[in-house]
Amino acid sequence: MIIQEEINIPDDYLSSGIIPVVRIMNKIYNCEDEEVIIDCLKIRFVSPVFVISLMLFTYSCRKKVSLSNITTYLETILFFNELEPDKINSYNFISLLQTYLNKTYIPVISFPALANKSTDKDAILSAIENLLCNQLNLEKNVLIGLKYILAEMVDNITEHSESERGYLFAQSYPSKGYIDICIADQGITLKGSFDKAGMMFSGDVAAMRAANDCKSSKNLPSAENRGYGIYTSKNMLIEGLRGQFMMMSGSAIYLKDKKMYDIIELPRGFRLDGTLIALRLPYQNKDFLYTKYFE
Amino acid sequence: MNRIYISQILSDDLKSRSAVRSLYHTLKSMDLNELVFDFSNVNFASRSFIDEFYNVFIKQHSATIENVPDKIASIFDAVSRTQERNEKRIVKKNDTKSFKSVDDFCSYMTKIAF
Repeated sequence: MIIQEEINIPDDYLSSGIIPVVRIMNKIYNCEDEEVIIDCLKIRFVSPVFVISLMLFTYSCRKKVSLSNITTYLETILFFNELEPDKINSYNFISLLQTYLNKTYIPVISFPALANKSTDKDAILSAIENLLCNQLNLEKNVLIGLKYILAEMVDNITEHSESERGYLFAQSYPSKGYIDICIADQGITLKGSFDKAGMMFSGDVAAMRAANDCKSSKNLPSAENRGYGIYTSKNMLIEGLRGQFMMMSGSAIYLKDKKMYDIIELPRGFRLDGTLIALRLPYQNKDFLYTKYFE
Repeated sequence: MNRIYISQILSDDLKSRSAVRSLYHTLKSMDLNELVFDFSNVNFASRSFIDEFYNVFIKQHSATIENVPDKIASIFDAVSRTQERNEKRIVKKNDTKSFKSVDDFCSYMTKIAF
């Protein structure tokens, strides 16, 4: 089966990329063929949520999914051809990132997520942050906030997901003054992490609610309280930077910004085998002070 | 007392809990109570790193920290204040939106314009 969708995702809304992904996956799930081709001819402009969620859904799909008519734009962002920096030497990785200095995006990157690869992971993240800083001319106060938020999101993949790799794609919109960043894993989901810790929830939605309510699957009775990572990062993003936060895990989607908060269940039969976080981060804010949002 | 320069032994950019655990495995044969952890030249530390460091080295082994940049000292303060905090955050309960069809889901996502 060949699927061809006209996709031109406007930059107005962080989460809108999930709509064509669900439509494409609906066709894939409902077709009888074991092999499916996504014809990219009519894909004009995509968003981080579209790219990363489509990748994750198709990677865990039981059918063989391939692409045809990949456009130059999709090739350049490394659509379904993610860069694995740990598989090339660090000098070559830094040099390759330099070629994106005048671009408005970071290409799709797959980074090692296991604890024994933390040094590599942290170095990769630092290189990405440096590139973003140079691309966007970030002021120091916003850069520190970005680093804080990204560090928490990425370290959660290592600490909770049991995923070997994480994924990142970022797109900035200079005329609008914000950047959309999507970070994801193919791990055990929020519910899976809670289940392993003996904290049973009725489903993905309940687990999503708990994760965003300061609960951690690694809360230990008399030791560290870990649930503050997502909470303080979200607070920093939404209250401090007036940004937006989206999280998808299993069958649950969580959306929050200053004006709204929503928990949504994917349509029946749809489930992300992993966790995805998308951030919309306005990066021009002289008054932002990240130390205000530590708790 | 042995002085451990964090920026040299780890990095000036501290992001991961596992970096703390690795450091612990490296140092555990030493008397951790006698160690001074020097945070000179550390430019950034995530909350996760500081939380793990606090629990592994300060709470469990009474280690000393010195030359901590102000912004990182603020994170240590926040972390120490939130240890064993059991307060419930008041979260506005929200009904979960469920959908019978893909079209209904897509219509809703379009409508909320998020």
